[in-house]
Amino acid sequence: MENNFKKVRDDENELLLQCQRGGEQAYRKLYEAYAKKIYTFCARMLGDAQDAEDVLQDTFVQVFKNVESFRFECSAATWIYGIARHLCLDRLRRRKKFLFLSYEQKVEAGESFADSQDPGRALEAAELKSDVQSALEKLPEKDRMVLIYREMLGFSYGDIGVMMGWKEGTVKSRLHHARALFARRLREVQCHDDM
Amino acid sequence: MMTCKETGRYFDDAADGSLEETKKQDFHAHLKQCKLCSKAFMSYRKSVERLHSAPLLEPGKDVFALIMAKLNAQTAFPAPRERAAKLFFSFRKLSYAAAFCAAVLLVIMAGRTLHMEKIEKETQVVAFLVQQHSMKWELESVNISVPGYGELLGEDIAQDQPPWEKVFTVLGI
Repeated sequence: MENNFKKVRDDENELLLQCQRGGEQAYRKLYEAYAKKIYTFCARMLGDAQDAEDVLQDTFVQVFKNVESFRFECSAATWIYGIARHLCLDRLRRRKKFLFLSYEQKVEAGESFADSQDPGRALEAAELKSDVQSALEKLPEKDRMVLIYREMLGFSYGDIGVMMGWKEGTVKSRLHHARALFARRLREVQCHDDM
Repeated sequence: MMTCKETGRYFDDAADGSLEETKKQDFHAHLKQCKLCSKAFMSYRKSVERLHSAPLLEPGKDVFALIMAKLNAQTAFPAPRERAAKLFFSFRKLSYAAAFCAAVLLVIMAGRTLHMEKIEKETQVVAFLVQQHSMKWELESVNISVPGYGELLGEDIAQDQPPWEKVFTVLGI
């Protein structure tokens, strides 16, 4: 287990080293290694496919622009997720300030993906309209984040602690609280849908 | 036997399957007896399982190309905010360099002032001693020692050899 963990870290670092040497091929490898997970993180945080794609783009633009100055003081995942998290929170804050999407507008946006020819987009739209997503969106940002990291992306308590700047004990108690709240919200959403 | 409160505390470990064997037995024994806890745990576990089973989502196929285009555009024409940041940092570097130079200059000037003060003090002391002893000398006898020179100077100077040439200049000899 420890060796596997070390191997993953070594592979991550190797990818970053290749990017530091430059070249689109290395960039593509790094993108392919993280794109799905980062996109899932952003989509679950923001609840909107288009916004998630924008944040994914901005995250990798930041990563590629700053990869040369990366000093390997933390893991590649910690660094990349840190950028994505920051951009997501920034977008959520801006959304709260300036953008008030009505329910109808949101449904329309989701339907535009559902109607798309690409079956992947339709699946995504369905996921982002699911009761799980609705329940997630009813949680405070930090609870949502910790649930996505742990339950959807499979990070360890230690990794989440490093990413969020919390101690492992804090991660556990926060996760316990977030799970309980999520279970309650999910029940509420399901009851609402049944009515 | 566990209480309802204690059972609630182990929901996480039980849902993760990481509950210790002894606690596991107590936990399940309580669930068998308490319908409320049993229902709450089922709902808790189900919701966690729903999260686990949520699929990873896939971004559009053209996203990488868009990222590279954005990256190239930004590297060629940095945004005004970034340019301002770059300017700010170069200005900051410049101000650090200026501060360093000023500090070095200050140290040199302070050293020089101290050095001048020392020479002045030496000269005054020798002039005083010359007056006191009514000493007469010729230029050839430059190496005469003046008793008490080091002591009067207030420094740990073992020798009693004043800097004669400086003294002669000051006294106009």
